[in-house]
Amino acid sequence: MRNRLQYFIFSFLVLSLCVSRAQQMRDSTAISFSLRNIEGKKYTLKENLGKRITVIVFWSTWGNDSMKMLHDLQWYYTQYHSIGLQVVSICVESQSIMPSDIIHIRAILNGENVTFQNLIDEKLLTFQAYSIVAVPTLIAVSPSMKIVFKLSGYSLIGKEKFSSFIDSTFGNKHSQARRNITEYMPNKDALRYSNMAMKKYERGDLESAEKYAIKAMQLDSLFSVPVVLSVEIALELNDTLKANELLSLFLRPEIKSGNKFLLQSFLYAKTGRKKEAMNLIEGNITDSLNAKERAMYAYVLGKAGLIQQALNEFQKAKKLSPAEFRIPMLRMEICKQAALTELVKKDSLLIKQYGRQ
Amino acid sequence: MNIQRIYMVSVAIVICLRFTHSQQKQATQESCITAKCHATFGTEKFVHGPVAVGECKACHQPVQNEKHKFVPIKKAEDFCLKCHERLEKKGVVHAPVMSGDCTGCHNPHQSNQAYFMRKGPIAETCAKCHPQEAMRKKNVHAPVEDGDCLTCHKPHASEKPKLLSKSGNEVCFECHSDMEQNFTEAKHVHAPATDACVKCHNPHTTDTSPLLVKEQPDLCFDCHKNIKNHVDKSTVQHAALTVDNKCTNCHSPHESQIGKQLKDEPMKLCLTCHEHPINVAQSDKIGNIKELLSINKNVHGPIRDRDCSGCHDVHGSTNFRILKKYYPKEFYTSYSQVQYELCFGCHQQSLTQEMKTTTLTGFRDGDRNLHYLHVNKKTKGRTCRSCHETHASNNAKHIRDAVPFGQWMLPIKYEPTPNGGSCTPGCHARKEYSRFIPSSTNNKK
Repeated sequence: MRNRLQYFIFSFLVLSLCVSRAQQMRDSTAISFSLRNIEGKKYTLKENLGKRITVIVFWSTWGNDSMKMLHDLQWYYTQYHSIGLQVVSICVESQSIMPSDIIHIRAILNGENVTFQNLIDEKLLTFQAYSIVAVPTLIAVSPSMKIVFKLSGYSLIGKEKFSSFIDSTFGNKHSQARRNITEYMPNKDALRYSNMAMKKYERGDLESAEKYAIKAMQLDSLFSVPVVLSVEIALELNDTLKANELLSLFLRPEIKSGNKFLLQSFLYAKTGRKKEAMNLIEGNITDSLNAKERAMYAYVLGKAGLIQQALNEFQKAKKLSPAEFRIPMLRMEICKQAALTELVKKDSLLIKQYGRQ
Repeated sequence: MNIQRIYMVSVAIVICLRFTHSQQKQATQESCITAKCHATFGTEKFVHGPVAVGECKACHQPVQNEKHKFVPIKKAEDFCLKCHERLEKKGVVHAPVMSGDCTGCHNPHQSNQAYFMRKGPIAETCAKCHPQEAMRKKNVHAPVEDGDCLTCHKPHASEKPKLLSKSGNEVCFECHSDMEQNFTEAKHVHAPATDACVKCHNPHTTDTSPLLVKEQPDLCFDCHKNIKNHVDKSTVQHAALTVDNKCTNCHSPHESQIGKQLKDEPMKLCLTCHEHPINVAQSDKIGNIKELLSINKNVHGPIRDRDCSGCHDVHGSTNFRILKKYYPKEFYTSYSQVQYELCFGCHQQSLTQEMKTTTLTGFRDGDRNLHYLHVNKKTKGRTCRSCHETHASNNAKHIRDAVPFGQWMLPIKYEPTPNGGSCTPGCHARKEYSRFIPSSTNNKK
């Protein structure tokens, strides 16, 4: 009877402790603990929190991925300890730890060259307090003891998540937002043919350029780059009719392109419709133009007789992309018109460097 | 005397002028391009300047006093350089350029091709020395298919090996610009891909798609020898390695946002096949895992982490269902720690070793460890599968709805309570357990 009463009281105390700790965990507040480290010294979590993040890892020598996690944590610890990362490992080897277990644990930690604190949870009280189900389990705690990250096991995805968490906490490059993958991406082969077309166009092989641009358009009718290029090729071959046909293809609403008016304006400028060209660009030019677009804009200005303004815009385009081959091509045309002989010579040399005849 | 001298000089001038005139006349009259001779010259799309103006002697020097005999042209380059700039012979120089054999590739008279190329597409000219038969395997690189060798190579000289226009992968990225962007943005990049595309791809033609130098998985195994050894030793093979794209069914050979170069989250990849039942043997069928997971909300940890490889070795195994470690198929087994290697890779080993506990598990009656009670038996120890559904169930701790006993499925009727629970399986009558107030005495009654 006395034994039963004692057990009842003990159970009540354990349960109360568990309930309050479980409540804490539900509130995402970490439970402080005091455990002995592998050298037998007392260690209290609250007194050793990192300035930015404290990672608590529950591990064991028998745990499948414990070594991998310790290894990775050591790497992070080396990288970020000086800027506020604290790591503490808790070995949850078994319910009853033997001296031989300690020797084994120490050997493993030495083998992994672990330099952070290593504690032993001899009676698995902390293991229970944190409701650990799988080993290893990793818990990241803020300086105010809030649980900010938890990882049970060390799966590939878990590893990635933890890596992103650390990266974002310590400002690594991978935390930067990736390109929005839901945005339109051209068909891969279309992109390749379009690039081939561009290369041929750059070198003045208009026939091949046209052939590849057509292939790209056939593979992806929504891809704007080969359509724009085809318009440029047609204009260079003085095929205005074809250029206009292609332009109407480009102006379809299905084709998404930011500055559609610019190609239209460029085509007008090329075909002598200077006023219409200028009307189209008026009030529509923004800072977002890329080098090619800015060169086209400069060309439209030049054709309208605004030579100095045009030269300035060509200069801006060059700053955006010095390798953009359209810049010397279009500028030379404007300079010829304005009888700027020196600039014509300079551009002619640049064009030759692209292999254009 | 003076008159005589003046007369003589005048005669000489007249003779000279007449001679010059006759020479000019002769030159015009002796143009090689006539309706009868060399009539086809000047008829093609591109005509070389000297031919166009009938200046054949610019290159062909007649042997003195011999009609229709010319000094043999030993080195074409000597004549070309009279008008054309000398090509820089730096770095890697194309053999004909080195030997000055410009006319090996260029027709010095006329051509229907740009740059006076001797034959149609550039490749036909190249084929004179570089046999094209070897370029016509099952899969051909687009520029090769189009006969456009100059997409990648320079015709005269280059600073880069193989007369490439750019070095290393840069030449590939000129067209495959998406790859370059992907490499820059990716978290994980396959090292050989960034080193050199040609480590895995043939830039011209191969019998293996996509232009691989070898079939998969042999190509991958050339470096990943450990995986090869593992696959060779496996008695239970994973079909994913042998069907469709083999290694690249799951791995991206270029770049990835997920470790191990995976194309997507591991479980998503698995469920692309395991979304329907799969027959593995005559009487062995793997169920529709996707469906199982969609109708059961309490999932096993690795599944919650969307990683089936927590338990399964995707490259093959010596254990059934390509499990990473041994896991008993049976309902009963004689207890030994080794029997539960798979589960005890993550879960506390002492769970089935300690008769009493207040910390190891919630499945205890007071301090009586019920895991130990069920599992740790010399005969008829219950295996994990007796009570737990390994993938998912609608009960806490993914406890089964029913116990698989032979061909029967005996309902467990598990009912959790805040401090314990009860079950009424076919194995025994209803039993309760409580972590707070032990129910053992009640159960015995």
